[in-house]
Order: sequence, then C-alpha cells, then structure tokens
Amino acid sequence: MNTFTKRGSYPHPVLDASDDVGSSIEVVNVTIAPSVDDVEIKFQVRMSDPDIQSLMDDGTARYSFRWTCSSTIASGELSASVHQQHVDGSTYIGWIDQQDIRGTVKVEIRIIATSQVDPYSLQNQHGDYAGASFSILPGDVLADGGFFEFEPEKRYDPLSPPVGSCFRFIADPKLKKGLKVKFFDDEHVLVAFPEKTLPGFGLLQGRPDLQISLVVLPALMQTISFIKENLAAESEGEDLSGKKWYTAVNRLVQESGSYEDNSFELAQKILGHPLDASLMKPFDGLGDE
Amino acid sequence: MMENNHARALTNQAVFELKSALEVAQTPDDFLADADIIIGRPENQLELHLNLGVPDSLDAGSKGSTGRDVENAPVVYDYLGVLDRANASDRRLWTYLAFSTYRDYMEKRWPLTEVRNWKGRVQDRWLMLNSSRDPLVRHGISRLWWVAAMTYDPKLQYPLSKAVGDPFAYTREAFRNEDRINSLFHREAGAFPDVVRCVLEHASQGGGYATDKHVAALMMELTLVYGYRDLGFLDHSALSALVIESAPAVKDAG
Repeated sequence: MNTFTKRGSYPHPVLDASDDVGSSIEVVNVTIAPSVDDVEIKFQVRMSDPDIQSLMDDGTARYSFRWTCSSTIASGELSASVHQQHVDGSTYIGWIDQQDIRGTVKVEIRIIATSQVDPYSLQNQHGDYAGASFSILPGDVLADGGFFEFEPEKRYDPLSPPVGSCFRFIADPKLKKGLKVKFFDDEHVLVAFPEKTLPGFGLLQGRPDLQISLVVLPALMQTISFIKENLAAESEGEDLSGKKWYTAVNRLVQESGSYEDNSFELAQKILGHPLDASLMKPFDGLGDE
Repeated sequence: MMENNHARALTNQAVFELKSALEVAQTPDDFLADADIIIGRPENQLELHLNLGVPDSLDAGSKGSTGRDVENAPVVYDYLGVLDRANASDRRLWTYLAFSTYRDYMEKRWPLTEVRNWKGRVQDRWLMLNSSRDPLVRHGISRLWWVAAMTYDPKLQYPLSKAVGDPFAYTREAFRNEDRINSLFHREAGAFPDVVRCVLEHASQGGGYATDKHVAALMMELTLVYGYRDLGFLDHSALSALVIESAPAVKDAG
C-alpha cells in the first residue's frame, strides 16, 4: 500500500518529507485486514529525530493516528498499540469499527505536542531557521509521516446482512461440554461455547465451510425451530419483531421456502448446502499421518 | 404477534432505475409517476432491522422556506433515532425516505414543478447517488438527520443547550440558514462535533458574528489551522479560545 505526504504551511519547523528538518519520519509496511466487525490496521513507523523522540519519551509529545471517513463524516483517533519494536521504530496495530466507516478511509500519522513547549527548537532544523526557537501549543504538529487510504471492504451489506452475521460466538465459563444457543439478545443469536473449545472454533478460520457445517448449521436449525415454536404459540409467544436477528432469519426463510419446511433442510438451503461443500473438499493433512 | 412496522430502504437496483427514469422523463409529473411504480414493487424494497413505528409528518412551511427545518430536523432524528454512521450514509435509505416516507414534505420543501432545473434538484435533494459529506448534508431528508446527529446534546453538557434546556439547541442554531450548513459541514474541520459546537456558540452572539460571510471565513480559517494543529486533540475550552483567536474582526458585534 502506498503512503502519501502532504505539505502545508507550518508556523514552526515540522519533520516531514521536506528538508524543513534534517531527520526523517516514514510509514512503511501498511496492512489492512477487514472483518465483519472491524478493520485491523497495522503499520510500521520509522522516526529518527532525537529531540522529538525525547519529547515523546517524557510525554510532551505523542503519536497521533487520526482517521477520517468522508462518506460517514467521521473522524477518530486510532488507539493503536505497539505490536512489535524495531531498532528504528515500532509497528503499531489498531482497529476501526465497521459501523463508523464506508468508502475511503484516510489515516494520518503525525506526532503532536500534548502540552505547551516554549522555547521549541530542533538541533536538526533547517539552516534557514538558524538558531530560532518557537512557541508550540498543545495539539501542534511536530512531525508529519503522511497518510494512507483504504477501502473498508464490507463483508456484507449492512442494510441486508446475511445469516452468518446474526450469530455471535461467545465463551461461557459455566459451560463444560456442548454448545448452547441463546435468543435473549436483541441483535444476535448467541452461540455459547465452553471456554476450552471456542479457540478451536477460531482456528478453523481458514475453513469457513467447516465452521458453518459444524456450528452455524445446527445453530440456524435451532433458531428456525425457536421461531416456529413462537409462531405456533401465537399471542402466548414471545414478540420477536424487535430483534435484528429475527428480521434477517425471517427474510431468508421467506426467500428459501417457508416455516412449513423441515428445519434441517431449510437451514441447509439458506446456507447454500454447506455439508455438501465440506464433504466434497479434501481435508488437508488427513492423509499425511 | 410479530407486527411488521419496520423501516424500509430501496435496493441498489431501484436507485439505478430511479436515475434512469429521471434521464428519460419529460416533466416532473412523468418522473414522479415512474418513481411511484419503481418504489411500489416489493422486490425493490429492503426491510430494515429498525422498528420505528409511524413517523410524525414534517412541516414544509411556506414555499421554499428554510425556517421550518429548525423544527423538522429533531422530528426526523427522533423518528430514525441513533443510527450507526455506516448505515446512516447509505443512499438507499435516504432515497426511500425522500420518495416515500416524507414525500409530502419533499414536494413542498423541494418542489420540482416550479424550478427550471428540476432534474438537477432531483439529483441534489431527492435522489442520493453517492454518499459522501456533501450529498449527506444536501439531500432533503438526510441533511435533517445528519445535522441533528452531529449537533445533538442529549445530556445538555454544552453551553447553548444547557442555557435553554434544549438538547437540539445547536441543531436549531445550525439551521438558521442554508449557507451556514454549507460552511459548517462541507469543510474537513466540520467533522469534529466540538469544533462545530464552538463555532455555533460564537455565531449565536448574533449581529456580525452570525452572518454567512463571518461563519464561512471562520470555518476556512479553522481548516487552515487544522493543517498544523490537531483540532481533535483540543477540549471545548481550548477550541472556544481558538475560535475567538481565528475569527475575523467584526464591525457590527450586535
């Protein structure tokens, strides 16, 4: 991914891609990994100015990773943490919620003052400044590493989410064996795992067909049965109309058949017959023993 | 049980069909008749996860009046409630609301029959073809929700709303005229709610501080400052001080 620099008109020396200050700041190795809920952003910053580093060490300055999304008129500070230390800087990692962004997102990497610095001068500032010093205010930019942009790549249409997004997979410390499906949440059907088995589900990330076959398919079957029971109970049943997961599942049921259909067959149809897909796909590593 | 009172949006296909219908329509009446057919098809509608009930109607006031939007913005915000920003920038939602839910208001507030460039008005105020900062604060309905969302102060934390006990005090100040909306939200600095609040507090002094020219010049200056100072880092009092420092001199201070 490319990074870009911008050059404004600064009232004090700013470390950036110009020769204003004879040190350097650069942003490299930017990686973007969108998921259903958020976008993971990872990047490495190299910064060589000793005076600015000293201000950061004593808390008078800090990195600012500000993101803006013009499609959602949103702006925020990416609360990124150090992922890896390097000799000449650090790799940072942070996340932006998918609910805040759409279209192009811009991330600006800067170093800003957190408090007033007066007098401010850098040993590497350009000779034209001679020995001049400046008055720095909180929020003033001391270094500008440029920016990079990305598209969040929605994993699904937020106005019309697929069935997979209706489920949330959680660890239940009280559960020792087996999985349970819970319907009390307004947004998601909760699939509870014993603490020791949820990581195993996560390890199947590279085989979504297996995740769907092993967990989502039976959870969807139970969800359909739960809705059927409520429909049969008529006025005695629970009002599900305010639950987001109900709206999505109900729409998919109507598109694929009806509540008269067998839950097992209906769930397979909605999920695109995941058992067939899983069983027809070779299991890597099974023949290596 | 399970009464269906869900909000709706259009499909992308329907938005494209509306755009195509606009291109070939000879008159506003022809276009709106075609639009009704397109929107009426069940396959062109998306049922949303929002159970909103029946919306209160909006008052368009006299022809082309901006004044009523001061009252209409809170009504739309109360109806749609808090939306996440990704959904609130979806063109399919706003296009449906303009052509269907709030159709009466749109026909009075942004009429098509008495303007020369009526197709331009449809693209500007009725249809939302792309969602970004400018269309969101120009579209006839989305502007009401977005300006309210960016200025709403539910806990009466800030001076203007605290003074009058109205969580929409900043929204009403923003809607004093159309140019003010443009000045506040079309610039990058307008993405910071606290910047907008401080500028509105400044403008609420009235007189020369409230003119379109003054507010526009102030927002331009703040955008320049944003080039070398992170406005998002500053708290309300620091921003208020910055607004005073950045504001052009006013002859008639009211």
